[in-house]
Amino acid sequence: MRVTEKMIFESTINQTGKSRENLARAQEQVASGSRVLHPGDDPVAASLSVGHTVDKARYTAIGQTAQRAADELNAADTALDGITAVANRALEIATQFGNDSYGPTDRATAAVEVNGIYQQALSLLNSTYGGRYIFGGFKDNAAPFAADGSFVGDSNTREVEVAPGLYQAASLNADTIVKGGTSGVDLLQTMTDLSTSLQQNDANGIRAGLSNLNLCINQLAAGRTIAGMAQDQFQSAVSTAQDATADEKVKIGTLLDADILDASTRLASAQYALSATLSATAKTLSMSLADKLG
Amino acid sequence: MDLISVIMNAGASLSVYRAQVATASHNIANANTPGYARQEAIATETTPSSAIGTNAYIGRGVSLQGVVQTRDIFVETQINVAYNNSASTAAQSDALSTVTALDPQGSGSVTNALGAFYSALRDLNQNPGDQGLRRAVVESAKTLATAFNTTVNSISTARTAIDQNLTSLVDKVNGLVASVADLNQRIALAINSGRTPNDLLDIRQSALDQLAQMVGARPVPDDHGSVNVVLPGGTCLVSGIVPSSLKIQANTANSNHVDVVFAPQDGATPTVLNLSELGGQIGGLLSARDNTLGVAESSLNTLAYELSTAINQQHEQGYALDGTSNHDLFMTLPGPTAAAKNIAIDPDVDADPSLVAAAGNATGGTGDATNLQKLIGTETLNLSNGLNAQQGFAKLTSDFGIAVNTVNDNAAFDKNLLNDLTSARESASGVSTDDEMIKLTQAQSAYNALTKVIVTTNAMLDTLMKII
Repeated sequence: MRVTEKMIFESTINQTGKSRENLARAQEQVASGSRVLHPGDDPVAASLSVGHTVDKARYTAIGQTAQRAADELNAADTALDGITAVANRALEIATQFGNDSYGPTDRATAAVEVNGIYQQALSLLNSTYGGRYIFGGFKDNAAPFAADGSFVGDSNTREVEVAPGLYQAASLNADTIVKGGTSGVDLLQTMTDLSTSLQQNDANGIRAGLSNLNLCINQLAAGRTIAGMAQDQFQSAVSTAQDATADEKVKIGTLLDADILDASTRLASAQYALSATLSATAKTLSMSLADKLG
Repeated sequence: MDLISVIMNAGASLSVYRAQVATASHNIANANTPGYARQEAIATETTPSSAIGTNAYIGRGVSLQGVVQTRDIFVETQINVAYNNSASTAAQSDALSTVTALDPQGSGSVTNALGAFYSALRDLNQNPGDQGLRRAVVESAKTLATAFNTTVNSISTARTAIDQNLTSLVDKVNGLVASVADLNQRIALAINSGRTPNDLLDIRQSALDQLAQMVGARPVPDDHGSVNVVLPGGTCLVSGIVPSSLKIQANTANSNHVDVVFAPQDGATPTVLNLSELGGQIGGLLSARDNTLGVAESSLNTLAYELSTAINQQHEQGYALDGTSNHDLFMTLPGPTAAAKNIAIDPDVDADPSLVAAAGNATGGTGDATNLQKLIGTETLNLSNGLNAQQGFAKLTSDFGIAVNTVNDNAAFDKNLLNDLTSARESASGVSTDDEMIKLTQAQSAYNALTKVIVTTNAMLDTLMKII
């Protein structure tokens, strides 16, 4: 093949251009740490990364909300613990003052204590967490229990996601656990009745309250079991979501991140190639018959 | 043969070497001129005429047969197609590589905004009465709308930039078309008067190369030295010495992007040239604008329209904190046209986040998130293409990515092919200064020797004169 100077110049331009392009690309990858900077670099990775990015955000959100739900359930459990203590104290008082050895004065004094712990129970039932009433069902912006012990919340259960599209109850139904629902016993009413019986020195009435108080304590225990199980579920949802988030992060990394070792090696080889191209060019360009002819 | 004739012949032969030196000098001067084909001064023996004795002819030296161009027609035909393809794919690759809106790790991307929007809905679902979380939902919806706006804006800006490129390319094409028609006339004139206008041929070849690159035009030579220029679709841009022209015309049906129109010289009705009738840079740019970017833009519009409509439909069924319903989260869009550009948050919800319809019924209470759960469900709702929003955007990204990737590969291949052909053409027609230096030296030696002949013959004449 006949080779002219223009061919050498043009091939020099092409080759240094190519070398510089490779160098710039390797440099960009090392600097940014990314392998796919434009969808054209790797269409499949770019497309898959869309799904993984949205999935990652989804699992992060599920993990965070599940954690908040678990915290709220923990607060509900703590409140139920306090209410159980109140119910136990009421049971003690009923057992003690149901005994006929106590007179009307003793019982009237006990009635004052029952009224006191009633208020304590009421305040625990109107507990808030993060500004919302935890026992109100959907009606979480007002105290669910009125001063007379009536329930003004609703029986709906709030739900929070534990896995994409899968919801788990995140609130307790106070109307069942405390008010007894349709078939159970109303703790607050039982305590009011106990107080009345104590004031009226009605020993039979006091003793009649004993079985109801026991039932109430069982109801509360059942409520705490539900809270505990839900809390467990949310805690496991949190750790599953965290694992899934980490997993998605790894997947995105695998798809888009540059292998720094590989990228650095390519950077070094691109630098070497460019330097070699330039040296070869300089040597070729310096050879011309015009220089040799005297 | 007399001595005077020897001097005369030697003198005449000197002109051949002067022509060779001049040609070598012209070649060296044009060593880097695009489209230039190496010229060669062809020497031939002068026809002998005088006879000495009965059977001897004495030669009369050398004369110039002509100055010819060296071209390889086989390569020339292929290089035209290579110019067309390479310019087309390079223009597409350049145009598409500048669109960064769909970059997988771009900040403010639709992907991130989509994830953030549904995350905000999930946060609110856990505590739907919280005003701060409601505001977060509204802001994330705004961010989603903005992500659609900026993404489509980046694509439509690239398409508009292509329109401007097309306008300037069409001007250049018209200039070249006029110059080819003019050169056709001058070349035909020269050829008809028996001359070979090498340099005019070079200039025309260079214009034809550029036309192949700009619009994919191919030359069709006629028998009279003229070259007709024909577009890939068969439209004749130059017919002998008559140039037609291209024009730019806005197309209202295509968001006012420009069409390339053929305006015949005879004033006949201009016709719109479609993509298959054009090649080179103009064809490549049109393909990038209307195929790859056009498809991406319309997919994005459809996605923005269908997603916002689906979210609105669900949102309308829910109840705000004040118990009212039928509120939209996004402004209602009339249809997919320009949806990604126009998508925006509903101003009422923006002003009052308590209008976010979380509840499933009017008296549901602040803790009611029944409708929010259904809103979160739109995340996996299949839109008209059978894909949910996230999958739809992934497909859009992969379609765009595959198109860019293919074009980049083609551009690299076409560039290599063109480089090979350019080398082949350069090998046949290019100027090697080494060759020319040798030819110069060769002509110089011959010239020197011939002058010696003249001096010697002159001395012989002197000797003869002295005898007399």
